Parts: sequence; structure tokens; C-alpha cells
Amino acid sequence: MENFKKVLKKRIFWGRLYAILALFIIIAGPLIIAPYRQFDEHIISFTYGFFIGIEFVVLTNLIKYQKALKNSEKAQNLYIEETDERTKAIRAKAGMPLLPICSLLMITASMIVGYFSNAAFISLVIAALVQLLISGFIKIYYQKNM
Amino acid sequence: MKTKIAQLRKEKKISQEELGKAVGVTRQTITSIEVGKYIASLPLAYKIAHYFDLSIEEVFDFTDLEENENGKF
Repeated sequence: MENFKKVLKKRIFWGRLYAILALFIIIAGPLIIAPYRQFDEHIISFTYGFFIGIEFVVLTNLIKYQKALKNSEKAQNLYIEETDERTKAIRAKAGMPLLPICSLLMITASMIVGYFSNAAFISLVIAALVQLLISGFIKIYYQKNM
Repeated sequence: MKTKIAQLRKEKKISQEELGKAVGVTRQTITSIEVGKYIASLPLAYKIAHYFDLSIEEVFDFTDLEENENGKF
């Protein structure tokens, strides 16, 4: 359990780092891109929305990990959830964590490419979303049937 | 695969969640093993049997496996 608490502390550290960086981008972003307003609004909006969404997920996880660090029972429950063999088998069948990582990379690429090509932006975003949906459906299927 | 886990739990008066915590898995995994949807790995089967002070063969029913080996379907 002590090793798991060390893992949680590392996650909290990186989570805080990301949260601060994302907050900076969300707040300072409009000032940074103001000179480059000739880009499509929807690319800029998508980028903000993406960072805000990830920020929300990171903050939710940070709260969960902080509670687990303070409460041994919550830490134990979290540990069991993460190391449960059936859960790991279902995640493996659903292609996790590789598929979500690929989707994240595709969305990041779409945000960069979007400033140059609208078609490439939309294609990458749709491909990433389809990947995530397929992975989600497979996960739900095996949760019910395994 | 059939198991006697539900029966053993009732005899010991423990919940699926309590058994899950004792052997390091979630309640849903215990449920899936009991209804035969999920086959426990060897280490997990050992932990469950050990929890009830029984052997793996006394907790898990390998009849189907033995029938398949004998060519029966």
C-alpha cells in the first residue's frame, strides 16, 4: 500500500503541473493568439474546449487521489479497482490504454494541423472520436458479458 | 465454470464485497465468477480457496473441463 501511495503522490504532482499549465493556456491564450485572429474561430474554440475538458478530468482525478491519500480504506478500494484482474482483462480487450492515448495524440495533431487545413482537422477529430466510441462500446460489452 | 463460492459465502455469512476485499478484487469480479461469466486466474482461484481453507478443486468445479478432455460435448 505504501508503494501505491507513492504512485498516487507522483500522479498528484503531474496532475497539478498539467492543471497549472492548462489554466495558464486557458487564461493567457486569448492574449497570445490575439495577433493571429485570422485563424478559424472553431479551431481556437475546439482547442479551448479540449483543454477545459481535460482540466476538468484532471481536477476530478486529483480530488480522488487526494482523498485516497488521506483515507486508507479509500486508498485500498482504489488500489483494488486498478489492479482487479477482470477489470484489467476488459481494459485490455477494449484496447486501453493505447487506444485513448492514440486518440489523444490524434486530437493534439488535429489542433496543430487545424491551423493549416480544415479538412485535416475534421478528419482527425472524427477518427479520434470513432476510435474512442468503438473502445467504449467494446468495454461496455465485456463489462456485461464477462 | 461452476463454483461453490456463493454457497461458501453464505455459510461464512460474508458479502461479495467483503470477499472481494479479502482476495483483492472488486465485488463485480466475485459476482462474475459466481455466475460463471468469468473464470478466475490461478492466483485468484488459489486466494479464494485459501480464504475458505479449502483446495481449489473443492471450490471450483472442473467437471466440464474433464468432460471436454474425454471428448464429450
